[in-house]
Amino acid sequence: MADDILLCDLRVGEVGKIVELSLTDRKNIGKMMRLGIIPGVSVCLLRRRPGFILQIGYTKVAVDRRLAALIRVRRQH
Amino acid sequence: MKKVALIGNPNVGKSVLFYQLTGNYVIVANYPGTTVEIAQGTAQLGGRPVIVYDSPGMYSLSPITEEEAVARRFLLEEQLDCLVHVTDAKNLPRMLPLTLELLQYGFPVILVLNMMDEAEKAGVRIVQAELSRRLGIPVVQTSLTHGRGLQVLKRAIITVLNQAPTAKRLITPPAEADPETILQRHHEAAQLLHGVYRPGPAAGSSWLERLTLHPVGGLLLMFVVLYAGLYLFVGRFGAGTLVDLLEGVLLGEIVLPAVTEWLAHYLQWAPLRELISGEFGLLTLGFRYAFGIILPIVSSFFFIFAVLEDSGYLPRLAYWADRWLEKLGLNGRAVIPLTLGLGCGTMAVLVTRTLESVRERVLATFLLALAIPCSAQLGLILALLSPQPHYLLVWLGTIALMFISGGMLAAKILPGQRAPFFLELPPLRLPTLNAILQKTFARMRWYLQEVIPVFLLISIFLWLLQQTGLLETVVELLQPYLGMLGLPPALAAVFLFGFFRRDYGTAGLYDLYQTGCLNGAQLLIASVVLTLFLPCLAQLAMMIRERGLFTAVLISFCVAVLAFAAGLVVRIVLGVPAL
Repeated sequence: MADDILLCDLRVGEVGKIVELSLTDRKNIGKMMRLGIIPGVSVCLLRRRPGFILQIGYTKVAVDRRLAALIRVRRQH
Repeated sequence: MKKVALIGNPNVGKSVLFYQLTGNYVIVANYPGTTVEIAQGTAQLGGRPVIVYDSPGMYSLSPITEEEAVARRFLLEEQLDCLVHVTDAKNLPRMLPLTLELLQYGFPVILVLNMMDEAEKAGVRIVQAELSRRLGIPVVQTSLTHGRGLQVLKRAIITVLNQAPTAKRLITPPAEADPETILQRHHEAAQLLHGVYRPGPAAGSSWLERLTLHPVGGLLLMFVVLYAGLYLFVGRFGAGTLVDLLEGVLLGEIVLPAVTEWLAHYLQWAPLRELISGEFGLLTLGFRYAFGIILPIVSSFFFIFAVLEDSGYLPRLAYWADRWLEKLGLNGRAVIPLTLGLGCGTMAVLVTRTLESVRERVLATFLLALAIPCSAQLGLILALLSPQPHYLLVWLGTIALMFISGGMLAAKILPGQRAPFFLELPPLRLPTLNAILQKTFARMRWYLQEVIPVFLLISIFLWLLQQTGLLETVVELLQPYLGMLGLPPALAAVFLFGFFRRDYGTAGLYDLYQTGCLNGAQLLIASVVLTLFLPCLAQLAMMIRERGLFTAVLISFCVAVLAFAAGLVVRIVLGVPAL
């Protein structure tokens, strides 16, 4: 889909629905999934600098670029 | 005795519940053969004693982290009569999968919806009775920091304990978590919560929350927190005011002179008198340093650290530091052991367990040994050098330079890549004084148990050296090296103390400076070398325990060489003559 982008390409304040998690790093994907980062869930990108901060429901999670690049989202308008 | 275990994700209030159930009576038990501590205590429930365990934070019975592996082993091996699964009510959708997993493997579970006050404030609605019916287990709503729901929870535990023991579990959960199973459990949880859990309006952030994460504001706030917490509170208040009161007034003017005088009258045998109240006496050196100087400084640090921990600020600090620590081969998570190292290096080496890879643990252990002064050192050095601010700056600059260059070099030498950074940022909370004091006292107790015997042993050891004349020999051995650093021979004893406990060595430095044996520049050189020098004996022992003999000795050797080299450079730059 044209609207599918990597999470690290979202702008600050934008919301995206997770469509796919790259399973190249199963261990870290597993860890993120346990905090509710799973396909079908909406995430809001709160910060890009100095690192990425995501809001999922009532949870805030800090991730570095490497992990943010494992998550594919569909931009929501 | 019946056994109850508290389990759940990190940061949901397990330890608060543990304190409330066991009435602070904690034994930190080393779980057989493993590395992570599981706390154990006794509670009175329904008129009889019950053993309560507080387990490390876990998300699943199939572990990813080492802490989880320990929690898993504990849960599978120990015959537990009741599992209390503590959750953060507003985040129930991502916490319920663990409840389902526990039920799947046949554990007797009570689900605790904690932090109900926060959930209600956020507008979250939970139909507790229906949830309990669907799960087939007791569900209790609590707000434990305010004591709400505690009695109901206790009654629920008693009821479960009175039931006939459940059948033995037959299946063992898989030893490794796979994404497919996690996804499936989350879907199950979502289905189960349908119509039972309703989130409130979109979560907002408070201004303080936004400030802590703001690219500029957050950085400024970090410096303010470090300045106020470390410099003002630990350096000025702990190492200044408290030490003056305890060591200067209480011990120095009242207790010790009285005891020394009394001993001079009634204890005729001189060597024994020396042992108690002589230059390296148990009372004059061991007890005075431990209680008069070190304890007030370390406890003020533990107090500040507990405030930072309970307010939820530490993960934000980790977020901030991640970019910089990457250069040192570390991950933002290393902020926690490194900051704790500013309190007590020995405790910090223990905490490096929370880091993911062996490489990161070794790097953090090395930095802790080299360039992280513990609070006792930090407090005394701040107090000693602050009359000459330019020396204080040189000291700070040298240590910072060693931290950065040493860390970068070590990261280059050790093969491997840093683990990706990933950390939950809990909401900022106003910490309760009660919880902070409990934490501070628990750490102080650990410190006293670990430290006092060492202090007394050192006093005896030095007394022996002095009595046998060996002290002079050791001092003579050290002298040429001290001379190269431009330092007087009297410092040899201080460096000797420094080897046994580095905070202790700094306390000796403090004494020497008071008596006018050192000038300002020499004080600076000695401070630099002592800060960077070999870790104290207790830390060395912990390094050997955690990293193995070979790594510990290698690190110690590198640190000794670097400390000496740095001292030499500072001496030459300052133009202090060699002696």
